[in-house]
Amino acid sequence: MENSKILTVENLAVHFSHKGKPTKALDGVDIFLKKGLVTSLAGESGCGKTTLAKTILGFYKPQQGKIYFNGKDIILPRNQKEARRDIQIVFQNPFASLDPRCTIFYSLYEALTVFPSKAGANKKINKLQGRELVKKALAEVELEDDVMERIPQQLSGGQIQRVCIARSLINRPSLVILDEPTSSLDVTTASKIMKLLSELQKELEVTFLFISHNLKLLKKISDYCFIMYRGKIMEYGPRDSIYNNPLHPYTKLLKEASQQKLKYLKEDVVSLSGCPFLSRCSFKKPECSQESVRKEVEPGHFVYCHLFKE
Amino acid sequence: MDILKQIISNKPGRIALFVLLLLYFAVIFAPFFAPYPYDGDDVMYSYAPPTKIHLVNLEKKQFGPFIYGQTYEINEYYQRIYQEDKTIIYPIKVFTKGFKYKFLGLWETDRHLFGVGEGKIYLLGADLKGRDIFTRILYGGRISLSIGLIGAAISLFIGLIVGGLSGYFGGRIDNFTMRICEMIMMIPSFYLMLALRASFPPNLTSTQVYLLIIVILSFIGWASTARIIRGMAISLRENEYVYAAKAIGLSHFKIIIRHILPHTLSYALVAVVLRIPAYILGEAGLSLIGLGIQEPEASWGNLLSAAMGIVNIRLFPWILIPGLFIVVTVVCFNVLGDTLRDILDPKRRVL
Repeated sequence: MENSKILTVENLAVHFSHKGKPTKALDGVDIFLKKGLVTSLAGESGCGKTTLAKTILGFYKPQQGKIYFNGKDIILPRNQKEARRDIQIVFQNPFASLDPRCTIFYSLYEALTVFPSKAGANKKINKLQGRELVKKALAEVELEDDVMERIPQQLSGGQIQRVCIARSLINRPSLVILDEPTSSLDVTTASKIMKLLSELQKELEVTFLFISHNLKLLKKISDYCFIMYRGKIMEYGPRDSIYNNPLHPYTKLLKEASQQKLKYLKEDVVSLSGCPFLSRCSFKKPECSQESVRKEVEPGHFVYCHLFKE
Repeated sequence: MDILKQIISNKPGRIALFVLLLLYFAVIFAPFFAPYPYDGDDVMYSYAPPTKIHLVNLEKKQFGPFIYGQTYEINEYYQRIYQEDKTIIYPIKVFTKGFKYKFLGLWETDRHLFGVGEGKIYLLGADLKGRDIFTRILYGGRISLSIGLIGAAISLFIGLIVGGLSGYFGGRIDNFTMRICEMIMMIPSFYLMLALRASFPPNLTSTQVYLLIIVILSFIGWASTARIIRGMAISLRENEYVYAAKAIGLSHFKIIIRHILPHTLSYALVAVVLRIPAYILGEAGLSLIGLGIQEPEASWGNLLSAAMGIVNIRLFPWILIPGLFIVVTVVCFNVLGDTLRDILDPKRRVL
């Protein structure tokens, strides 16, 4: 069964300028998310993953491009507000993503008050109703009721991350962006959280955009993968073909990194034109200084590289 | 409550807090502590020195605190020289009857902490019109001490709103408000205060002047608070919980109120306590040069204005006592502010 696309990003560019020097955080990104599936976005630090997430949420205004959510362009302010209730995010650093002054109950309750109708309450929500809903939301992420009255400093990183997941799901969004939700947790906690996430995803049938730098993690959870480098998509396709048959030299490098096999890294130089990975690529050819077009190597597996032919 | 405990455990902070509480307590119940009304003049006692309180008179078998009656003679420079008339004794009575007043504005009473009946007692001397300086300090403290608090509270409020908005939104709003702040901070504050006071009509009632001074002081004071809050808001808005709050769809206003400003409060509190002296001094300065609270209304500033001539200070040094109260209050607020800062923001202690 072909899933319909819930989110489409077309030719998105976000540039930041610092003291007149522009940085291209996103440089013409096209991605799409299929409804009810987990799509992942991989790439190293600084490649624009978080920027893309924040742009989808409307925190940054893109210089060019379109973001369609359920067919509506959500860059337009009037559509953005509507999209807010349907797109949620879980951040990388659990300790920073809850207000240290607020109790866990308040942090979750606050989310309920914004769009009460979605959480199953009538127009206005009172504290008592909220308490029940918060209890339910915490039970979903396997947390006890007694964390409600605590403040974030009294919880462990894993517990806080569960609270953040509960907060992102409490309004029953159709799309949740997970921005490296496990990268600041230890291995055992991370694997528990990953298990919880994939269970919740199947149970609630939400769409996930899972952002990570670790291909191994992506292999566990995602259905579809996008590989990103320097604000550009390098390669995308179904999870298995990306992981078992990585084509782009950068994807190979990422895979080696995730298997701890990485030996030697070439120095990274910003290339003005052509393939952004040019300076680090060991297979470069003369035509690599020109922009590569998208090529479908296998059915559904696309790569932006001169090394491959359709 | 936790903060209060920590202040009490710090010796200078404890003393400062105690002195300030005592002062505020005294001025709130000013009519009770004061033996005379604030405008109760008596030309017979013009510039009378502080009355001596005696304990024992063996001839008349008088024990316990009492004062003698006072007479004066005029010397060759036409100055009054006050002398005690040892034949007349006025014992000092506690909880005695005096002038009528409304206790806390609720019910009428005429009880006072102390009084001497028919005589006149000047604990801290009298001024030109024979008014009791002790009484006038208590009444003047009502104005001077409340102006500090209210002015600081108003400028904190404006500072929080403006600084919060400006830091949170950044960009043009930030640029615009910060330039206004700089313009206000650029002009020497006393000069600006005079200019603002001069732009209002001179013949206002004392209530109007009181409100006007508060407005002027907070107009000058909000800028520096706003700048501090703005700086903190800029760093706070990049926190992930602010992004998370945006993501769950909270409005900008609610984010600023709930997730940005509460984090600045502890520092803002310190800044405000440390700024209260400036407001007290501002009022005192305006009243001193006759642009603030007008006689017969009392404020610490206009009480000091009696001490403007060197002759007056040399002959009647007790008219400088209101200045002592200003000094004590300002020092106490500064000590309290420092203590608060050490408690709330230990990192800044070295600064």
